[in-house]
Amino acid sequence: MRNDPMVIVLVHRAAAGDEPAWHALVERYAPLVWSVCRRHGLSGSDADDAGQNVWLALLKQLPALRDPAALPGWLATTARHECLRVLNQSRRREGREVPVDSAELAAPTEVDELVLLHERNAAVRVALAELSPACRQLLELLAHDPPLSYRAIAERLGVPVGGLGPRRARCLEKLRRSPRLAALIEDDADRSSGRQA
Amino acid sequence: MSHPLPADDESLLDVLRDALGEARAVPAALVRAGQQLYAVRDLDLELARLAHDSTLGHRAHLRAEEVEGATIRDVTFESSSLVISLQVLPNGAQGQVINVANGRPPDGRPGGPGTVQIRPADGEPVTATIGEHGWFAFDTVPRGRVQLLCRTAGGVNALTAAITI
Repeated sequence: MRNDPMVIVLVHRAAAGDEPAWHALVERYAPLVWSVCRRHGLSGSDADDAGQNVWLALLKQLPALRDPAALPGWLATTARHECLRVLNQSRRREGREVPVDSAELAAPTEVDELVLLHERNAAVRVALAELSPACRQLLELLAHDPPLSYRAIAERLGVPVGGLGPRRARCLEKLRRSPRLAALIEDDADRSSGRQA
Repeated sequence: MSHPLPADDESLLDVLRDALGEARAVPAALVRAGQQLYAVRDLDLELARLAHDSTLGHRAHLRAEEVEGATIRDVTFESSSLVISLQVLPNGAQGQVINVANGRPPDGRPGGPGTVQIRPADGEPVTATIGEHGWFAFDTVPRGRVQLLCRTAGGVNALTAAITI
């Protein structure tokens, strides 16, 4: 998703003073920032501290962000640095001499992997949000955690159980065809045909 | 390269479950803190972490929201240049701002003059003056989730982590 046009639009709008665009950016990337924090063992006020600093860095970076498509990678790297800073800070407070060694934490390759996973998931969430209310509701119930039985889903929707299968197939097909997911599928096609970017 | 979407429906639903689950797992406070920064984006900000909260025991390990306030609550925030202490009283609040840019307490200097704001998540901020010796007082305090914003005449703008009053 290096070229997700939606992210580019959000970055430009947020830099130009559009507050809802900033809110959408934070919401889109909060799962990525949070999972980097978790990966480094941070929670509670330590995670708040790291998170706040990541958002502030992003806010300061917005006008200078020449390549908004590189944003997820930049955010993950920034989050990793902030987590290291917070961990070192709390070790110093506890009187421990040994600074946190970046080698003992999530490896950069692991962070790259997180970025890819989160971009895919963010694109899937946006694609879902843009489906018709009927499809969105059905897919949300089908993706319920823990899983619901078809009967329970049919009851909630007030439709016959027999109709769920075809509807499910139709809605998943619409999800797959979402322009938000096009880049993922194209990238995949590139890879399988050996034309890696 | 990116994570491909699976071709079969069952696996696509697993991806969807994963995507929705990871968004649900994010603490709301992390999102709100980021979103609220936008209101103060024009300031050259430094952030002040929660260093001590009397309702949380000696160290601020826990999330402030999870704990009920005591009658008098002592909270301390630290940024790179300021230490901000706040006492939440039954009516109002008081505190002191110390500038530690050139030395840690007790070597710090009073952080005043300046202003300090208590900024609620929803609603209008209340403002108090920081005196020459760094002291400030509020007659009333907005309740709920708040952040403090300290602006000193020396040009420091420090925004604290959020606490729940």
